[in-house]
Amino acid sequence: MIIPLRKVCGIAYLCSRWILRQPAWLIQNVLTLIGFSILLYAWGGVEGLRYIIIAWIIGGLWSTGVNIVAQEVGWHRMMYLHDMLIASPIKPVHYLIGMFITSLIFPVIGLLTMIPLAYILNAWNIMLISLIMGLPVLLTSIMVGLIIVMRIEKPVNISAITNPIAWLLVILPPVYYPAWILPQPLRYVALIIPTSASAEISRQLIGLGASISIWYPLTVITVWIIIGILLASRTIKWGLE
Amino acid sequence: MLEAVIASHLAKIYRNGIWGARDITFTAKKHKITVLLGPNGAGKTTTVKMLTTILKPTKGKGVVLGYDIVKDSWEVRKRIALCPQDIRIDPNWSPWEAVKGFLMTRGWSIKDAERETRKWLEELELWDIRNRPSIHLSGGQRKRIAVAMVLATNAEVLFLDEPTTGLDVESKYKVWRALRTVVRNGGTILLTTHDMKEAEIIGDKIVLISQGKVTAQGTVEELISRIPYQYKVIAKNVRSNPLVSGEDKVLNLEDRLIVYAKTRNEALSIASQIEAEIISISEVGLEDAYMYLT
Repeated sequence: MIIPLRKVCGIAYLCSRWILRQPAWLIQNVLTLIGFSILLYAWGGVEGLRYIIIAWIIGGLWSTGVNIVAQEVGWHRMMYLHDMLIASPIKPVHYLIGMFITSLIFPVIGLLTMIPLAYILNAWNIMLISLIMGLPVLLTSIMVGLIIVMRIEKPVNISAITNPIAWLLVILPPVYYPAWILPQPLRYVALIIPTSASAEISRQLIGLGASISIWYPLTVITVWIIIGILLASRTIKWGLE
Repeated sequence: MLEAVIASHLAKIYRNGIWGARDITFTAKKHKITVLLGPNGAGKTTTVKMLTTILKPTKGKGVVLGYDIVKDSWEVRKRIALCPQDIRIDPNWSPWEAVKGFLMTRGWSIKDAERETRKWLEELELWDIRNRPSIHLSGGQRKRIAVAMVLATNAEVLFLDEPTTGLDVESKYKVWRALRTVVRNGGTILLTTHDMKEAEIIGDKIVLISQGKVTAQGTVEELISRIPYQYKVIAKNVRSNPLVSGEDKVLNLEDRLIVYAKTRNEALSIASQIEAEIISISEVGLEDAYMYLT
C-alpha cells in the first residue's frame, strides 16, 4: 500500500511544481470568482450569488478534467516524460490519481474563496449539493479530456482544443443562468451538456426553480458517464501501441 | 542467464505503413554497455521503444531479463528505466525536484530519493545548480538532468536513447564517466548513438544498425577485425589519383580521398603514388568498420 501511495505522491509532487512556481494562475482564479460574484450580485442580487456558487463549483470541476488534466497529460506526452513513466514501475492509475490530486488545487482554492460567501448567505446546502452534483461532471470531464489528449497526434495543440471546450460548455449553456429563460424546445438541447445538466439538477434540489423534469438531466449525466467510460477504455493506452 | 536483453527479428511497421525497424536481432549482456549504433532513421529509437514496452512489435520477439516484452510488460517495466531521445525537462523543475520526484514516482521513499538525488547530481556536476528551475539552465545541463533521473533509479537495465546528442565535449565526458560508473557497480545499459567515437569509447558491445536491420555486432575489436584492411590514408588537395575510384578500398570525397591498405607499407606506398597533401596515415577504427559492414 505504501509504495503505490509513494508513486501517487511522486506524480503529484512533479505535477504541482508549475503551480507553485506560477501562483498567478491561482490568484487569477480567485479574482475571477470575486469579479463574477460582484457581476451576478449587481444584476441578480442575493439570488444571483446563489447561482454563482452552483456555477463556479460545477464549472471549476468541469475545467479540472477537460483543461488541467488533459493539458498536463498533453504536456507530459510532448516532453516525453510520458515515455519515461511507461517504461517504469508506475501504473496508469497512480499516474492519473497523482495528476488528479494536483489539479484539485484549483477547485479547492475556488471553494475556499467561496466560504465567506456561503457563510454570509447561509448557503452551505448549495455548496454541498453542487459539490455532489459536480462529481459526475468531474468524472466526465476527466474522461473527455483524456480521450481528446490521447487521440490527437500532436498534443502541442491541446490547449487550443481544450480551452474552448472547457470555457464554452460553462459559459454558453445554462450553468450561470436558469434554463427556464430558454424556450421549451431549446432547453432539451441546452441541457444535453453535462455541465448544464448538473447545474439544473443542483438548482432543482436547492429549490431555485425547475425548467424540465429532473429525470432528463439525470439521464443525460448517466449517458455521458457510460459513453465516457466506454470511449475512454478504448482510447486511453499506456504503452505497447 | 547472462543476457539482459534479447531481441529476435524485431520489426515495427507503423499504422501509416512506414517501417520503424525491419529485422533487429541482437543480445545485450548484463553488467555491460551495449551500443546500438547507426545513422538517423536507422531504427534505433523504434527498437528501444519496443524493448521498453512503449511500442508493440509487429513481428519478432523481445526479452528483457527473462520477461517477454509483450506478454510480461509489467514485469519488464518494474526492472527498467528509459531516457528518451527527445526528453525535455519541465522548465519549472529544478534538478533536485526532477530527480527526487522521478524516484518517488517509482515508489522510493523521500529519504532514499533525496540521498540518491544528491549522489547523482554531484556525479553529473549539477549539485551547485540543484535548486535552479531548468528554464534558467543550458541545454546540456537539462540533458544531464534527464540522464541523472534515469541513472539514479538503479534499475536493472537502463535504456538511454542518444543521451549525449547536442552536448559539448565536457558534458559528454561527464555523462560517459557516469555511465561507466553504473556498469562498474553492476548495472546494465543499452544505449543508442550515431556517434562512432562515443560507441568506441564507452561501448562493451556494438550493434550496427542500418535501414532497420542489424548488419553486424561484436566488440569494437571484433568489428574492426572484420575489415580486410588495417590502415587508411587520408589525403587532401588531390591533384592526380592513379587508384581506381569505386573500389571498396577507395573513398573519393571530391578533393579529398580515403584509401585503405592491408599493411603499413602498402599505406606508405599508396601515399607516395597520390599527388596530394597527405593528412594522415592511421589504423582503421569503428567508423571504417561501420562504412564497410553496412
